[in-house]
Amino acid sequence: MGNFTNNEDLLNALKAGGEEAFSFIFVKHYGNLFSYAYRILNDNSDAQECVQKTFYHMWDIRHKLEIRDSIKSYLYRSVYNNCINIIRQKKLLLKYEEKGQIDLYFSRIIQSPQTEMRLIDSETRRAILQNVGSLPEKCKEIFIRCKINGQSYAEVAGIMDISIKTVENQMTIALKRLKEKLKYFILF
Amino acid sequence: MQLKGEEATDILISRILKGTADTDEIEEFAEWIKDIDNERYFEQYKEVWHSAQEVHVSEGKKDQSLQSLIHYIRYNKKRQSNRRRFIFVISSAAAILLILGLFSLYDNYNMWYNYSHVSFSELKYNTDSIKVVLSDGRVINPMRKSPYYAKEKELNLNSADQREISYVAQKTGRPQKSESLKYNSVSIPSGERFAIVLSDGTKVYLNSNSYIRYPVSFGKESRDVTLVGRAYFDVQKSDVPFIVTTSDMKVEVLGTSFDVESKKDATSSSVILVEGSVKVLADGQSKIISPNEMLSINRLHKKMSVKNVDSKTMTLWKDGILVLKEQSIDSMLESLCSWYGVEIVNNSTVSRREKFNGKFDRENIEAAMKTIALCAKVRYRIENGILIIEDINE
Repeated sequence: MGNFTNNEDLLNALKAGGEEAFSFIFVKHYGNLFSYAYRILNDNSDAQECVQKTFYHMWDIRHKLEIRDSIKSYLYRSVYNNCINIIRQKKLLLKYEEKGQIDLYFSRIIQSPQTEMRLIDSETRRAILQNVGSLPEKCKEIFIRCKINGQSYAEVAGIMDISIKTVENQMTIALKRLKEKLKYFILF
Repeated sequence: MQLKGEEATDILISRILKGTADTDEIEEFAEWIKDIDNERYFEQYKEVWHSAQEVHVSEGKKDQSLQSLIHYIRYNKKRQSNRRRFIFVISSAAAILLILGLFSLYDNYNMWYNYSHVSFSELKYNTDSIKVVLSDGRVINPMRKSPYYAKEKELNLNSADQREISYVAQKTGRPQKSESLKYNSVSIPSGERFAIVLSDGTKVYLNSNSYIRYPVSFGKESRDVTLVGRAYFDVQKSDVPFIVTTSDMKVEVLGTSFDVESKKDATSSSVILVEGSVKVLADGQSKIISPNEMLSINRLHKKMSVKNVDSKTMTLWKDGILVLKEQSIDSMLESLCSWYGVEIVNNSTVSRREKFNGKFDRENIEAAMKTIALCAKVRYRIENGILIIEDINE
């Protein structure tokens, strides 16, 4: 695979439709873009399709490819737009429309490409990942189930075959430990 | 916030972020976030929610997606150039044109796409070079021009064509007795092709995997050369007979154009005459053939046979075009190995009785393989630099 150290070379190679250049940026960004799309769409195959389409489209329009800031931000914006298209096609926002809360979804809930790009390489994300990662295994699972997956304590207790009291205790431990490490969060 | 309350809030927020919240929950959330403290809480929650989720994509899935992208690119490139390519195939003599029965290019169009992921840059080519052995035993590579070589006494390396050497200018006074002749020899590896102009002006085109030995300057009784492999001779007219000796025959002419094939491990050798006349001597028999005739000698039963051929087409190889006529898949692939200087392994079950015709130019083995795969209904891949042919449904 080609190695493009110079951004201008890479951009020119992309515009020329070079397979190597496209493979290069694909390999470099696929993981993060997939993760981003997945967190918006909450569906594996939708996320895969979304990222795939992003690269297909980039190849289709390669001649008029205009990179204002960076290829990376072009890709994040493109994934974001494709996510919105998929959400619209699948009518996933009907519930928000019914309640007249579409604006709320776009202004508060959906992760914007700018926020995502800021977060992805941030110290905050690194600290969160590291500290959640270093929780004891069971404690970590309970934390993820409750805080990320939105399961109730009772649900988690059922799934993990433990008492609700244990779930509560483990959550307290998790939050306490995270609070020590991540002092600037009001969350814990 | 109460623990109980916090649990409910967290469930609400994570359901909102996951997109699983129902209309009531959306309404509840819209109310809840109006509070500025709640809004701050939500912002931080969202940050943790996006950070702590480790979404991993398997290497296999990633690779599959990359392959799809590469397919997409190649397929579209091909589609965009397809119209142009098709005209090119018909109009250019140097291009490929394989015709087999009722084969239709468009019906099989989708198959082009299937082969497009094979990367020909991984194919290993033969790296042996053309060798000229001088009369004093020194070996030179005529493709590598150097001031040192240019001063060679026995031959002229300064031909306009890099793939050609000449002995014409090397006047050694009067013709010499055959015992005192000095000999040079040239060997051509697979994937290469070369031409020599002998001292009498006769031009010899050498195909890949061939060897020829000849005097630097011919004697006065005869013009003798020894050949292994395949060569095309454009013999300068003279009263001195020109004789090509191979392991199983002698071809004798006065002035004419002909093609001699006598490979080391083939089952037969042959002579194709383009113009003039030649006498072929083999195994105590002699035969004279006319233009557009091909004489073959079967090495097993030592039988000679003559048939009519299109000699111009059959000798196109000297102009850089490989022509295959009525060849079985194995013999066709063998020709390609030698022509392109690559290794091909045939694992397919294509019947030996199926015969192939084709024209291939030297430069593009990829196009040649695509056409063959299409016609023979096989697929190919490259493994360790070797082309492997196999059945499609394997």
